[in-house]
Formats: sequence, C-alpha cells, structure tokens
Amino acid sequence: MRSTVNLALAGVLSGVVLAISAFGIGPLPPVGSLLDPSTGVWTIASSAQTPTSETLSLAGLEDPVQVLFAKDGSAYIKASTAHDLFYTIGYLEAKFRLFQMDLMRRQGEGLLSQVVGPAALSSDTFEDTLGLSRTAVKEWLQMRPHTSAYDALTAFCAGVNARISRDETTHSLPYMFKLLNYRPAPWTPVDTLVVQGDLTQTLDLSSAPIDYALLVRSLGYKRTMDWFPVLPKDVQHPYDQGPYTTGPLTAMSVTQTVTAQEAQAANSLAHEIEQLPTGIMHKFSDSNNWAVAGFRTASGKPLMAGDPHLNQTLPSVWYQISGQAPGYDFSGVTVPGIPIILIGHNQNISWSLTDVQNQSTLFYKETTSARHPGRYLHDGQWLPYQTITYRIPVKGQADHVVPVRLAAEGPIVTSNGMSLAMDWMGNVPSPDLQSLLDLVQATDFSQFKSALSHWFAPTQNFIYADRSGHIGMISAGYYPIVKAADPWLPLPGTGSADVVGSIPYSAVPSVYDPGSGIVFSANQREVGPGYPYYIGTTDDGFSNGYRADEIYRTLSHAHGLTVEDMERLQNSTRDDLAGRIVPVLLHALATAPVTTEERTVMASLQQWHDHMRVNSVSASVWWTFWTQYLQDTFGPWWTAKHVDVAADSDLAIGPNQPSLDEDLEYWTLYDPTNSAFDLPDGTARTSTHVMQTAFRQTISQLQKRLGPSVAAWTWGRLHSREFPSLTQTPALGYGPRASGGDEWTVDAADGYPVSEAGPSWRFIMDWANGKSYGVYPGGQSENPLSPWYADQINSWWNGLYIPMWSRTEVRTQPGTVAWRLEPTTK
Amino acid sequence: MNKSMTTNQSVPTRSATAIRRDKRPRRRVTTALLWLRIALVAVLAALANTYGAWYGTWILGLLGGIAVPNRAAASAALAGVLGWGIPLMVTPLLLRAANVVVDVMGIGPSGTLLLALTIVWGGLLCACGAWAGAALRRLWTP
Repeated sequence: MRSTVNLALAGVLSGVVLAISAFGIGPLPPVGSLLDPSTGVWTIASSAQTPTSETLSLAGLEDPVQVLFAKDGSAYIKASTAHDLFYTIGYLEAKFRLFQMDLMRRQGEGLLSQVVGPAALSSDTFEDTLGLSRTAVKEWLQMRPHTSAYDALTAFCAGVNARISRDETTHSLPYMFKLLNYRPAPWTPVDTLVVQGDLTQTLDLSSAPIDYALLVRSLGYKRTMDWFPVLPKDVQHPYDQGPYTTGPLTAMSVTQTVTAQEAQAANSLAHEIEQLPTGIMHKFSDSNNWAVAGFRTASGKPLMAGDPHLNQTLPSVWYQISGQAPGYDFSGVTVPGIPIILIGHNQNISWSLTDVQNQSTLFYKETTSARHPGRYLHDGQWLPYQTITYRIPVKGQADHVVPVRLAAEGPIVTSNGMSLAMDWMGNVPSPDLQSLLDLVQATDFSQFKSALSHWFAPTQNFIYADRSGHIGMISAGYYPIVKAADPWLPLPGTGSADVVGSIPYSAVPSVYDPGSGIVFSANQREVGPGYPYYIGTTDDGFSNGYRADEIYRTLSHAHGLTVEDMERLQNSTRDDLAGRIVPVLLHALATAPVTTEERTVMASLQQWHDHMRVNSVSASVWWTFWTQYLQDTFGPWWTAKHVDVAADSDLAIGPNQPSLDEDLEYWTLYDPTNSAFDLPDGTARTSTHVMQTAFRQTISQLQKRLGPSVAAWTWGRLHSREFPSLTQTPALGYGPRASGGDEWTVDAADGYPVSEAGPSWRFIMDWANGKSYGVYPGGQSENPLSPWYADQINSWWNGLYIPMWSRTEVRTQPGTVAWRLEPTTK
Repeated sequence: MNKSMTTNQSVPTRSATAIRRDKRPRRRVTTALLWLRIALVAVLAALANTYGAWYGTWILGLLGGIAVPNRAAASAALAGVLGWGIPLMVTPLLLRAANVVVDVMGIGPSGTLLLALTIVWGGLLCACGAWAGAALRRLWTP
C-alpha cells in the first residue's frame, strides 16, 4: 500500500513537471525546450558570436560563393551566377535577421496575433482588410517565369529556407522563436512581396481624406481649404521648376459639404486607425537626398547624399550588403526580406530615395440601399460586394473571423454611418522588384529612367549621380487622377469619381543636369504651382519645405564642396524657419513691456544661430514658442468649431501640421492682420499680439517645467531620441538620450518630446574616386548579444561615417572574415 | 528479532574501530560508484539536450531510480543539476544572455533567476524520474 502511494505521488509530480516542460504553463512556453541549455533559449549566446572563416556546404547553390564580412558585419558577396548571388543574400539576411523578417511578413499578412496574442488583433484585422497579401499574390501571379525578378526571388527564397533548415537542424533558431514558441514557416516569394508592401504602406498609406472630412464638417469647407490648401502659401523650393509637359487639367474646385453620415464614418475610421500600432500608417514626411554637379565640388566630379528617414528601431530596418555576379556589382542597403539593395551604387551610378508624398489613398462613399442588401451602386447598377473571409489565428484564443467586403474601388474600411471604401495605390500590383534589378544594372540616366518606368508604389524621388558627371532626379510612381472634383475628400463611389489613370511617366517631376548644379528633395512639393496635374494637398504629407530650404540655402551658393561638407549638411541641426521667424518675434517684443527674465531670453535669442543643439537654451524657447503660437492662433477656432481631435489625433494643432506651419509662417511674414488671428467671437488680433502672448506663455511653461534658471533650459532636457527594440522590450532598445535636431532640421528628429524616427541611414557617394560612406543607427545583427547589434549607433550619433569598401579593400582590412559557400555534393 | 540476536551472539566480538576499518574500502567503492553514476547520468543528460531531448533527463532519472533505488532522487537531482548546469557554465556571455531573456519575458530584474531556474529544472526533471523509477522498483521488489 505504502509503495503504491509512493508511486502515485512520484507519478503525479513527474506528470506535472513533464507537462510544464512539454506544454508550458500560463504565458510560459514549454519550459523543457525553452530552458534546454544546448538547444533552448540559451543559444542566443552562441548565435551572437561573429562569424569565423569557414566553409559551408549548402544545397541549392550552383557554384562556390565567397562572402567577406567586414569588421562591422557588412557582407561582401562574390558569386559566379546571379542565382547564387540572390541565394546568398537570402541566406545572409536569414542568418542575421530571420525574426525581423518573420515579423514583417506576419505584419503584412495579418498573422501577428498568432504569435503574440490578441494585442495584435487590430493590426491583423486592418491588414486583412487593406489586403497587402492579396496584392502580393497578384504580383507573384503576374510575374513571368524566368524573368530576372522571378529568378532572383526564387533563388532568394531558397537561400532563406536553406538557413531556416540549418537553424532548425542545429537548434539555433533566433531566441525570439523559442520564447514565442513557434517555428518560422518556409519563406515564399509572396512573403517578400508582402514585406515590400509593408514598406509601401509605411511610406504611402494615409488617411488625409478622413482628416479633411472631419475638418470640413467642423471648420466648414472654405476655412478648411484656406488653412489646409492644395498649394502651400509659403515660398518653397520645388526641385522641378519646369517647364512642365502640358496636359489637360483635372477640374477640382467645386465646393463640397460633408454629411453627418459621412462624418460619422470618417470619425469611426479615424478612431480605428488611432488604435493601430506605430508604423502602420504613413506618419512622418522626412527624408533627404541631394546631388551636386562637378562644377560645385572640389574634385570636379559629382557628390551625392541621401538619408531616408524612417522609424528608428533595433534591429534597424536596413541590412548592408555588396554583391558581385555577372551583370551585378552593387553596394548599399536592403530591407531584410528583399533580395536587392534599395539605396546605394553600382560601378557607374548611385541613387537614393525620398518619399514623394503625393496623394496615394482615396476614399469612396458607397451608395447602399435597404432594398438591395449586400450591394452597392456603381455605374448605375447594384453590384454585390465581393466578400473574402479571413480567419485570424489568435494565440491562446479561438480564431477571429474577419469578413472583408470589396467594392469596385477597394475594400470597405468602415460601415459605421456609411460604407467607405479605400482605394490605395499600394494595392496596385507593382513590379518594383524588376525595377530595382534593372536599376542596379543601369549605367546611365537613360537606363535609370527606363528602369523606373515600371515603379508604381510607393512614389519615390530617386536622386541620381554618375561617374560621368551627371546628376538628376525622377519622382517615379503612380499618381492617381480621378474624374471628379476634390479628391482630397471622400468621393462618391458610384463610379463617377473613379481613378482614370496616372500622370504619364513622361510628365512626372524630374530633372537632369540642371543649370544650378544642384538637385535636392526633402519631401517638399516637387513641382511649382504651374504643374498641370493634381498631386496632393498640403495635408498629404508634403513637408513644410524647411529642410529643403536649408539644403537649398547651403548648396545654392556653394563651390568646392567635399564629402565633409555633405556630412556636415546631413548632420545639420539648423532650423530654417527659426531663422525667419525669430527676428520677427524679437521685433514684436521690442515694443512690449518685458520682465527681466524675458529680457534675458530675448538676449539669448538675439545671439542664437538657429541651431537646435542639445545644450541650446534658445532652441527650447523657439520650439516651445512656435508650438504655443500655433496653439494660440488656431486653438480658439478648434475649440469653437469642435474639431474632433479625440477621434483623430492627426488633427491636433502642432508643429507636425505642415499646412498650419506654412499658413502661420506666411501670415507672420506677409499678412500679420489675417483674420485667422481674430478670435471666433470677432475679437480682432494681429500676429504681433498673438506672438507677444505666446512668448509670455512660453516663458511661463519653461519656468514650470525646467525651473527658474534660464541657463538650465537646454533643448536636451526637453527633447531626446529613442530607438526602440522591435521586441518592444525597453532594455533592448537605445535611449531615450538627450538629442539635438527637430522635425525640420536636416538631421531630422521626428516626434516630440521623444523622437523615434529620423535618418535611418546616411549615405554619401563621391564620384571623384567611386568611394562611398554610410552609417545607420543600429548594426547588422538582430541578436542583442552580438557585437553587431548596435555597434554603429555611436558613429551615427556623432556624425561619423563608415567607408563602404570595395571587395579588394575589404579583403585587406583587419578583422575581415571569409566564408566559402560550396554547393552540397550530390 | 530474537533470531537476529542469536545470530549476533554467534559472531566473534570485534572492536568498533576494526569494523569501521573493514567497511572503509567498501564505502569508498560505493561512493565512487555513486559519483560515477551521477557523472554518467549528467553526461548523458547533457548529450540528450544537444539533440533537443530535454525529456532525456527524466528518462535517465527513471532508469537510474529503477537500477539503484536507494537515495535515487537525491543523487539524480545532483546529476540533473550538473547535466544542465555545466553546459551553461561554458556558454559565452551567460549572464548577459540571461538578462536579455528575462527582459524580453518580463519576469524580473535579474537573469540570475533564469539561470537558477534552468539548473533547478534539470535537477527536478532527473529527480522526478528517479523517484518514479525507485517507486516502480519497490513496487516490483518489496
């Protein structure tokens, strides 16, 4: 009896321990496999070791491949076939960024909830509705076999899957798979196309028409279009100043109203969008690129620079590679999951990207009727919605079912109040990969331009410079033209306002070897007011132009430019708007009674050179003042007219509203008695009065926040940068760290008080010697223990650059490691 | 009891020191065998772990318990601790790795906890197996 009880007790304890080991308990994954010292989560340490020189046998390679790893982990691949080149790129991306790749495809495919639980349901539901995976499947089906894109994609997938297999066999999958208790599915071409779609979405998907609907409903059409106009009020520097190819203008000036139902639908959708994680919708408008012709440089050959501004995360969005194979010889950065560089150079040309910011998202109000359930009116007929049902697996819960209805214009994104369909250009199948492959093989501007003729989305300003001394830019992509007025508002979905085409490629903004010897884009409106096509409004994401102004100011009179000048400009923290407004502010204060403290601050502003440096007091005063000035001017109207900021934070008044910045700048400089300064009750005010009030409030705010000593009001106490970890674990991110810059400085810091977006890569190309330099705030590996996890941050932070070596150079660098990849013998 | 007393009476009387001296080599052998068993189980458990077979530790404990039921759980616990602990000790960046994992899991401020949990878990698996093995053995051979 005693033995039986003993056995029963032993059996129960064993059962409990084995069950927890095999299946986990609560949020804990299976403890046995998780803690296994050799194959569990502890492999994070061994996987973090930098590669050593060795030979690897890989199934699927055609010939031996050599990979050199520079000291910073940048990979230099030499392959004897294009297939092996893309296979190796896939292998390396998976080796160093597999979890990031899996996360990106899951985001686009609406499968995050499967691994992280219900917290990701809003994102997954939104993505299934939007349809990145539907578009990716279409793109894959449209890709003809044995084109270079098809071959590159299949070879890339084979490389990724070879690494996944190896990791599984050696139990060395990245630690996050073990913590989240799942295995990565094999990588497919559709996954790559979805990752491409993720990028398009981040850069291109906006809800501007929803903002307009809510603004028109509250402020009225006239005031909305006065304060959020199509064309900016202030003087800007479009890079393409014409002459423009003429063409028929689209009529767009019919006054519209927004009904209560439309406003309800807009409000509901805005609220849903508010719940989405950062990065799902296009938010910030910042990237820079420029090129200067030889007659402006010390060497006589062009210089080119580019710094795309994206969410700054650890690991970074970029992975740096160089590749050599017959037909290919490139160096630059790619996004993990994509088989080719997006920014960089080959032996003849270099390029970089900024976002065009044109309107790429249209909303349509569907006409429905109780007499025609499940149908909508289009071209005079009651058409049935196409319905697709998605089943989202949710970790720890039952599957979530999402029925998605598709109208002719696109998916129905809300039916609250009325049905709104979204027509987003990112859902147009786009052979971007083929364009990129053609681009990296181009040798001159003509081939460059031809390669980009099939680039549809996201619309990008591709800057260009070449070995022969030419510079240029083309804003490639799809610019929707609709056959109706006011495309910035939700349009009728009856077919009367459908997209009828895009601006012809021959007429999209572009320049080649301009007489000025400079080409630059910083998300400013690319064209002047004479451009014959509608490309978007000031609320579509076009920058307020202040970074472009600073670039223009620096380059337009410069000669003898060097790489160091490019570096200085990329790291410039000068706020160009401050340079124009601060003198006006000081003039306004000159006639007002001021306190001793205010006089101290004014003295500081008088000596300030407009640099948003971390230790600058004037920088704190300026930013706080401008924010307050905007609030004091527009705030009373927002309150009186009930602008629904709670539903849509995009409508909040602040320096991140380019339309309002431009309005206030223009009125302050040229129209100080504009009626916008008046209060809604009719009380008359001028810019001078509002500035004086805002200045006093600024002093009071800074005193409260930073104490009585003016000397202690440094910008770094108000403003910092942070690079959060993709795992959302604070300890694995970087910062927050006190930082200079603001949203308008060339060294952009997007977001206040903590900036999480900005220059995600800084790249400079010197065609005098074919040398290039790059740095990004991160490192090549996603493993937090790897020496390559965050090793470039210090260089980036301090404005330093890392040479992008040639293969010959990297071979002789200390610390270079060589891999020889050999095909498995059959 | 009486029989035992009779038997004892037939044994010639010897000093306690002499008895201890006689038992010492046997005890040494027993101790050596015990450590050998512990070492063998630890090595086999570590080996099984390299194949991802964490349950091997429990199975080894079970077999050990069946083979030598006396004090099986205690020696198996030690074997499990060694089998899981020693490979960890040679892991590079061990404490940093532990800290990263607990940060991501959100289970506490220090990775030491995870290290301890891992080692204890190895011991627990082996001890549970040994206890079950010993209990089985006792059921068959009372």
